[in-house]
Amino acid sequence: MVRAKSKKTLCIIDTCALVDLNNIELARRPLQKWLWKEFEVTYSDAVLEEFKSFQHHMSFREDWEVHVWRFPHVSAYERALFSSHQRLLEDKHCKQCKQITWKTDTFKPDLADAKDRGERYNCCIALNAILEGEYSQVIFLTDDLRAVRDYVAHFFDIFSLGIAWSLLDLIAYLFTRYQNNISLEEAKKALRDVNTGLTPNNERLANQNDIRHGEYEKKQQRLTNYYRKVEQIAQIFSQLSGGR
Amino acid sequence: MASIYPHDWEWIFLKQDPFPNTPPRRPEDAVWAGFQEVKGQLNELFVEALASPQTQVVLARGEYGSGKTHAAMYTRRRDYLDDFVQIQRIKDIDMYYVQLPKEPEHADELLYRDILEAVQFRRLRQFMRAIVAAETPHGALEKLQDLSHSETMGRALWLLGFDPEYLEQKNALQESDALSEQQKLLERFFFSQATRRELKQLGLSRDIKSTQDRFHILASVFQCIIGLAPIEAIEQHRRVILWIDEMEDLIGYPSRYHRSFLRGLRDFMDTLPNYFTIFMNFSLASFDYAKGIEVVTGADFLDRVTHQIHFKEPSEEEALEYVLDLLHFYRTDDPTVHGLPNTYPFDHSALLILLTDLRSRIPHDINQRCADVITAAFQQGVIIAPGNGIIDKDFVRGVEDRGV
Repeated sequence: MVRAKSKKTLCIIDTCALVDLNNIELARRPLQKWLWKEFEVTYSDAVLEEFKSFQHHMSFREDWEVHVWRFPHVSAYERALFSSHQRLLEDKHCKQCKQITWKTDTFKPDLADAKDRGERYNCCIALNAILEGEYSQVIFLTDDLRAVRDYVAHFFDIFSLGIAWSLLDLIAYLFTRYQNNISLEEAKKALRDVNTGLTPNNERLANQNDIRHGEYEKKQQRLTNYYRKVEQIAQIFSQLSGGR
Repeated sequence: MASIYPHDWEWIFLKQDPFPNTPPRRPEDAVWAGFQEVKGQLNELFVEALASPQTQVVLARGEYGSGKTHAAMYTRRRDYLDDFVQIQRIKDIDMYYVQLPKEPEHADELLYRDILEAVQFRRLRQFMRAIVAAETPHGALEKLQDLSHSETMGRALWLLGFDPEYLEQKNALQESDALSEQQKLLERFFFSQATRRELKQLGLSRDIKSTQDRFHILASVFQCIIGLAPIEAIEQHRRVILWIDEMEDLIGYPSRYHRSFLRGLRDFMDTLPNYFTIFMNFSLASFDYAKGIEVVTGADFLDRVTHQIHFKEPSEEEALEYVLDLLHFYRTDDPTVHGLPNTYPFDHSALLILLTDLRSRIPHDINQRCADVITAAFQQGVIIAPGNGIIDKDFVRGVEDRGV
């Protein structure tokens, strides 16, 4: 069978992930370069607006305007998707089983508020890109865990149009795809650096000490999970190469 | 609304709030309540520390609020340490407590500074003078240069103990606390503040620059405190104990700082194979603590651990013992003499309900709930005079329901 070279997958990135890309290297190469090489990167004009104040801090230069996905009626999409929806909130942390219990909550965000507009518009882009027929799936790249909870999880719960990734997932993916060029140690190093900067969702935590420790626990558990993931990937590849 | 009732601990036969959620200011104010298993483990560890020269690398783990920092505070009580020193042959114990720095980009500098501050230059000079006095000046210099693997750092340490101005004063019996110019310059050198001119004045060819430099100096300083006698001469050595609290914060260190900091810390531990104990407090919620620590520190760090102390969540019985110990310690009067239970201001069943209903029985949460309920009892006029009024289980449940 002759396989045609496929088009790059669309990757819709949010402000947080764009900012977090700064100064992260994977196998001595900026993570941003890996991302741009691997995907068709785009974002909403709301993200560009939010990102403006960070641009001059970035260690890499890019024509940011070129990557903006614009389409008419984005506000109509936004209203239809997010006027009122259910979100899952952390309820309690069971100390016995060390698990978090969840509760549902009806969420009616103020759509006139620019806060989180980047995330909402990015979701609209995902839907529009599929409806336009240009792409069959999207990768939704976000490091804002609160925005995932409030909008992205709801969106992908309804529309099976792709998957939401954090930069940690991106690294795990790149490690899989380029396992000959990236060592396990290099992948772990990049995971640690990304994890250090990830924005936690601390609304359930009451005071500063609890926040510090809650944040720490989440960071530690998250990094442990992704270390395990890349170790398993490395192990599977080592078995595959041994079997060849 | 503000309370119209007085909040008088003596009304409930207590000197003060026995359930504070902030650590005491001085080790001497720390109280050990309950947790006999952990205390037993600590005692065994200290007995071993003073009976054999081997370095101990201790992992103190438990979830946030489980009592690790409190243990670090309590074990610095002089009377606690004295018990061990008296039954062993070792000269003495020097215990220092620091927290892992919160600024990764300056972590090595901050840890180095905090440890030197904890040791204190005044004390360090005493140790160095003793070393210099035990040798010829040249012999001491050579020894310290060998120890620090650096001519410059060895000379700087030697200068701390070899101070002609101090010796002159001492010979003239005019010893004073005022620092000589040389000692002032040396302090500046050790804190990387010395100018080139000052380095020249001290006869030192370079400044302290790298992470490795700092950890080397710390290891040399500790070795000088421990003593330079042959290893088997236990009675000629001191044991240095270092607690590093909040090691879990390493999770926030980006790799470029994480790697060099941990390498320095590992080398530091490896350079002190005897008469050194390092406690590292880790708050870990995960069941798989070994993996969690490996992720935070790296696998080769875990290999160095010689002892572990697990600050477990207490059972209901242990939690009750903890509360009773605390109440007992702060009593102004025995409530049973007044016909009240030893759990006063709680009746027995109220205290059991309080402990049973807690989501977690770590000391942090027990203290918080007990303090909340007693405060509410004062505010709502449940206790209105000495020994008059008691907290029953309905009141505890009421407070829990209101989420106070």
